[in-house]
Amino acid sequence: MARIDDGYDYLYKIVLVGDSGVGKSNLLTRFTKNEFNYDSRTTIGVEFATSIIKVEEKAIKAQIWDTAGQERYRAITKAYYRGAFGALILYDISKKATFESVERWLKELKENSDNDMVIMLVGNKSDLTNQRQVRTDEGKAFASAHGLNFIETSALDASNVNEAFTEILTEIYNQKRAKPVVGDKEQAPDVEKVQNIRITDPAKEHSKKKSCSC
Amino acid sequence: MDAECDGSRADFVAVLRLQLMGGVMGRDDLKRGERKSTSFWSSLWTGKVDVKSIEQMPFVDRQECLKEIWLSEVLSDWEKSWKSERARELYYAGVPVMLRGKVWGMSIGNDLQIDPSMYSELVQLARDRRAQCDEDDIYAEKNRLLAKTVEHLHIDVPRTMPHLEVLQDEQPVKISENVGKVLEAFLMLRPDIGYSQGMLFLSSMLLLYLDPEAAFVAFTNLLDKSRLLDFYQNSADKVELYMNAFAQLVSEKLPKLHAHFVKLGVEPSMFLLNWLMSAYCRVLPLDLASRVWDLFVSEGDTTLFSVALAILESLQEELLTLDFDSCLRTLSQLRKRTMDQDALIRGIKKIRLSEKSIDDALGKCSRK
Repeated sequence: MARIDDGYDYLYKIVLVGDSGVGKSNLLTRFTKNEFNYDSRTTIGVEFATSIIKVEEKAIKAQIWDTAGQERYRAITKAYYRGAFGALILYDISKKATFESVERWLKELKENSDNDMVIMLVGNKSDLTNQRQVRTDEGKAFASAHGLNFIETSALDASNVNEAFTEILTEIYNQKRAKPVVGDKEQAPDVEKVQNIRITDPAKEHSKKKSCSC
Repeated sequence: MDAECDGSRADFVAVLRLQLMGGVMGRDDLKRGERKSTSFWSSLWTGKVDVKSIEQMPFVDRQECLKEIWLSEVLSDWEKSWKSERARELYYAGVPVMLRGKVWGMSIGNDLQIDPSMYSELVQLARDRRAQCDEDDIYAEKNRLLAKTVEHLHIDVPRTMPHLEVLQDEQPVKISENVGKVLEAFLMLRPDIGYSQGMLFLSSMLLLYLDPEAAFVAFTNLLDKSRLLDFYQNSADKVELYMNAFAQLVSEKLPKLHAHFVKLGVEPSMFLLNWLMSAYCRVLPLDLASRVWDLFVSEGDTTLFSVALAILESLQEELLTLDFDSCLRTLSQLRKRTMDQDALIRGIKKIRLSEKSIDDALGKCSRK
């Protein structure tokens, strides 16, 4: 497939869901900007960030939508599940209640997505070892019972954050590859979208090309 | 001070210093500087000051000058003058920091006739009820629900306006200490509305300029019958209708930008929910947000839509050159920009949507 000039081959939309305060926004800024903000503010509605990673020499651009965690916001934020190829459901390993909500988030995702979504369960705040309320094997067991990927992360000390996103993006990529017929059909609109949202800033494009290994 | 507010930091320190001079809610009635400045300013102008000339002044002079004008022309006869054309001009020029609490409180009014002394009773009641969660009576379920909501809102308190302090009775008070209490009291009074993320930004803003009782009265009155309630109650249909109505307004006022957004797939909800549901406190530098609030408290929530259009208009040329990612990044990180405050306020004044123009846009969208 021809490489698109903008510096990436595939664009995958991913959503972040989970209860308030589990660390969705910080997980996102850790991944996209390598930053952790102690003063991060409550997310209202949705926020958005992107990052590009390499999988098998292909540049994959993740378009990640961070959603407000409060239950009553679901009516609004669920519109963003449409068209998503993947989702991370976050809980806080130091707050049992946020783990108990995972089942509802899962149901919500399945009811409102139109794709065969890759879903990953993420136990965040793994740095809070002394306050742990959800054991790793509990998370693992839930994930395997529901056919989800599983990982524990810490946006604060950065452990496993890149791994989580790389794993889900790779899985999406492989899923698309594994179904070439459906994949081709599904890739087509992606590419269109990619072309649509290209910017024509020569300086920027130039620098992007330079950093590109191809 | 929030590191993200750096742009307005210097001004904001000045704001807090001025509050110290004036006292929150004008409690000291601005004793300091008054002797000198009253005669000083009145000797300069015998007639009405042209508001445009104030824009050129340095921050502190401008505050002093506006204070004199507000005191002599509006506050001296509030009922008669606050809705006048002159007062409108003055709201657009900006309410001076030392009078802001007073003017906001009076502008919002108290149609609900809430007795400010209810505040501490309601805060206490909320605490008592939460303590009775485990009791086995007909209220237990309600109390547990309340406890859960309060627990949730306290997760958000430190994530609203971290580190902000104001001076009350000469003592520095962390805004966050009262932000949660105002909401707890509100929950007791309006359990039908409940707590929604975003509300804390409003109560924080009010607490910056008003004492807790007055902030509670203002908050409750401000939300009553407000269009913001449709958002806070997260009624998906209504919110979608507002988003479409806003797109309609953009297409009428800024057709080029609208076409650009449509081409890229940028939808109003991607930035507007954040702007409206925090009444701009989350997205604009605090001093600019305060000026937006001068208009919000005096002209009502239609202003919030005018502000959105004015922001888009001011950024239009830049946005037209940007792709999807950069557009959204720009629209969600307004705090990091240096914005010409007076220019934006002029833009809002020029647009100034009426209640009817919003209703019309809503009507057009609901028929579609």
